[in-house]
Amino acid sequence: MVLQFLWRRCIATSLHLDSYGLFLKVYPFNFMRPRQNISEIFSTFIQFEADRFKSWVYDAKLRRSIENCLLKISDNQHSENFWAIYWHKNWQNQPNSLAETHLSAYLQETCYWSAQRTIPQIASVQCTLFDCFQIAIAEVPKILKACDPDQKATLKSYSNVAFGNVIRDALRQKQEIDFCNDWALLLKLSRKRLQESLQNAGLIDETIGCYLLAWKCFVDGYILGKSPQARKLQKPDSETWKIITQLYNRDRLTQLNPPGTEANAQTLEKWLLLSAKYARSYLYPVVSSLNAPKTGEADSELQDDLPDTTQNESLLADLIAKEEAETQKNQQQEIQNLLITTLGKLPPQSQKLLQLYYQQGLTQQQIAKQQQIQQYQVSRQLAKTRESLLLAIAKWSQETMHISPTSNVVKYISAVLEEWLQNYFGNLEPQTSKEQ
Amino acid sequence: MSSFCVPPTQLWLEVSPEVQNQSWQQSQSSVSPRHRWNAFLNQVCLSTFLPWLQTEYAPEATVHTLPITWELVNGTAINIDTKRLILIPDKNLETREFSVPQEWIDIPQWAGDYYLAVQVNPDGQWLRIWGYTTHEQLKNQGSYDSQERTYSLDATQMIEDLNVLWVVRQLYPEEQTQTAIAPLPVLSATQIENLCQRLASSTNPRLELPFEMWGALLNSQDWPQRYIQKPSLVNLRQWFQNIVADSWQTIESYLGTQPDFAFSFRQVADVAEQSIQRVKEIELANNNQAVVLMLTLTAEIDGRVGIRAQLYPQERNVYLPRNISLALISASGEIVQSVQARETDNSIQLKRFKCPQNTRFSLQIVLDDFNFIEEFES
Repeated sequence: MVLQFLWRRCIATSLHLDSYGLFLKVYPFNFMRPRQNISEIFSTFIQFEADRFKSWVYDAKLRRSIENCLLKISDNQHSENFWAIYWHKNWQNQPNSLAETHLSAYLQETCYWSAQRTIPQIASVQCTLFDCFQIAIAEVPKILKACDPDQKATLKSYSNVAFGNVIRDALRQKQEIDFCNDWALLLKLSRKRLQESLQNAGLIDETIGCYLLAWKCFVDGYILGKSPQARKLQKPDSETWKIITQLYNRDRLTQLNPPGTEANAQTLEKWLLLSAKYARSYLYPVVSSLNAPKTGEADSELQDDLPDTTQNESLLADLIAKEEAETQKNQQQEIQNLLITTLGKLPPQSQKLLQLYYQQGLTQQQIAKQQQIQQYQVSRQLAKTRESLLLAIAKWSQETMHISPTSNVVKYISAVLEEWLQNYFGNLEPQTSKEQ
Repeated sequence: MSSFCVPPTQLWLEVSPEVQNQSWQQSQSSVSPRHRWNAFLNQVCLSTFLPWLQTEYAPEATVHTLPITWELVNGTAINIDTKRLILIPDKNLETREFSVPQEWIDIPQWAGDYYLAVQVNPDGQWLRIWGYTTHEQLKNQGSYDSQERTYSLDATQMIEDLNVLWVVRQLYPEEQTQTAIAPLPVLSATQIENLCQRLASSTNPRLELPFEMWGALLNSQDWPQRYIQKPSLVNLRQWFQNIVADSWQTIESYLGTQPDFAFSFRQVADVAEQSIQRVKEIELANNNQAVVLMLTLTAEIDGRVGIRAQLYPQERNVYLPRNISLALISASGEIVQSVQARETDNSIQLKRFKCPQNTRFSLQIVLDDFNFIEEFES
């Protein structure tokens, strides 16, 4: 919870500044009104307009739910994080869509800023803010499963990293697809995904069977190719085509039902290129809209969604008691100081790299160009620098709080560090760009 | 290109063209395409990641797996003092899920501490380590696929910051990472024999038997060797006792049948110390040419064996085929050294090396798609 405090302070002062400052150069000014109270934070969703934040929209059911909860406790001074833990634990006791949607509402800004921050890192890929937001927010159920509310990072810190990872991964995947030719793409596919692509394209089962076998023979034929020259990711040479055709015509007899007709290299090539085309369009990051507020739902559904209420009440009471005990505000400052001191002791070059990466939002490639060093040196130095900061906090919590720095514990510390870096350097943004 | 979007929390490594070529050539000794992919991707991964790891974090790191298991199971084990890393390479584009073969989790002798997810480009040009997890997490939170026999974890459950591992290694090297593993049955010789026969014709023996039997079989001493039918091990100590295996001849008896060879050979015949020389003639496929591999062994004072390996053309007045290569491969599958013939080489040789007793190594000769490999024990 120490780290939760750290995060809370950061988020209160810097979320907006950080994000405007960082992205003014890339995006036109856009303002996101901070949500005012617990009720709003847990029951509103972002509405987009022209790929930007437009407004907060209430979900009536969620609003009633959270307001009911607020009525149950006399002391209304609990933080949003208190409620986040409450809903998260509620969801853990019994996964339910109500808790999930409350938390999805809660994580809207985190998701929005993650998308905003990550997109420019992979500028070669065209993807709208809205699409990235949707890809990331759809991960909320998985994040709820993966994140442990008893660990040293808030759900928000954890999600910040998880959203960033999922968006980066989707964009990386899209980039790989965009840049690789059909043959390379076919080698990078799983059978399962290709099958889905072909089904999605509306092919009949018999055709899908042929295409899948052709694909398998291509992948096998590629590695059976005779010389290292054949290893280039391009159209197979005539000798490899021979192998592929032989494999196909042998295996169709046992693996296809009906076995179909004998195929030659031209036919197989045509099928493979079609398969690649279908896979390409299928793998384009898929957007599902979990975020849309559900309107017009009958009141009765609220009752269905709510798990055993006595259990919820005891959970609530339990959390109220615990948070009092866990409040140790002075430690929050200690970690901040620790990080700032550690940062100050780093070689100037390392500090410079952090600044370029986290404050100016430059990619490693851009940094390499600007600093006139190799890209691998940028990534190595950034990793080493980040590691030294991580080591400092992990060591501190080991020594002063007697927490064993296991992989799992340090994983959460890493999430806190990531958020601190983003916010700390966000706050250092030159005054001029904030005011534009 | 793909390195552009790798954040400082992940590791992206470029693979040298040498490693790409050697890995490709080594994979050629595998028969089935599946095994070849395994051998290629794992070798690329090992030859690139291990030197990096030794330089950056753990000079003591050593490889654990015999390359033999790549024929059967995907993955490579690396030991760092008391902990074991398992690298699982995959050429798949998608990295939102991490799947680990059951063998690395449920065979007590195989199980690791940390499991690293590695994406390798299909041509072997680069690799990316995008996260890691522990044995305990895979076993307790992973979902088990009984058809493929894998444990899988969603990317959000993984530790996507590899720096976490290096920090834990520094602060808490004794971290508890494994959960309990049920012991596997011990198979009798007859059982092993029967199972071997049953698997002889299988294209994917991994999934043929109930897992307990399969795991126990993998654990048994000599089965994996037998499965891939490696030629039997050449025991070098027997050479000192004057025992000669069929395909290896003494230099005298070989010269008796091939007097011409003395011509090409004489230039190095003046070996001073007490040494043993044996030769083996190797037919190169499609080349109508043969080469002669010659080993010169010297017993060292410290009990080790000094070994010189040389390759000659079999016929007089003929150069070695251009690009033919001779390589020394360690028991773990690493290429220790290799040498390649140029346009007009009369012979090539490896730098002389010394082996402690009972050390295994292989010598490999490669020319285009021709591949000869023989394993030795000192």
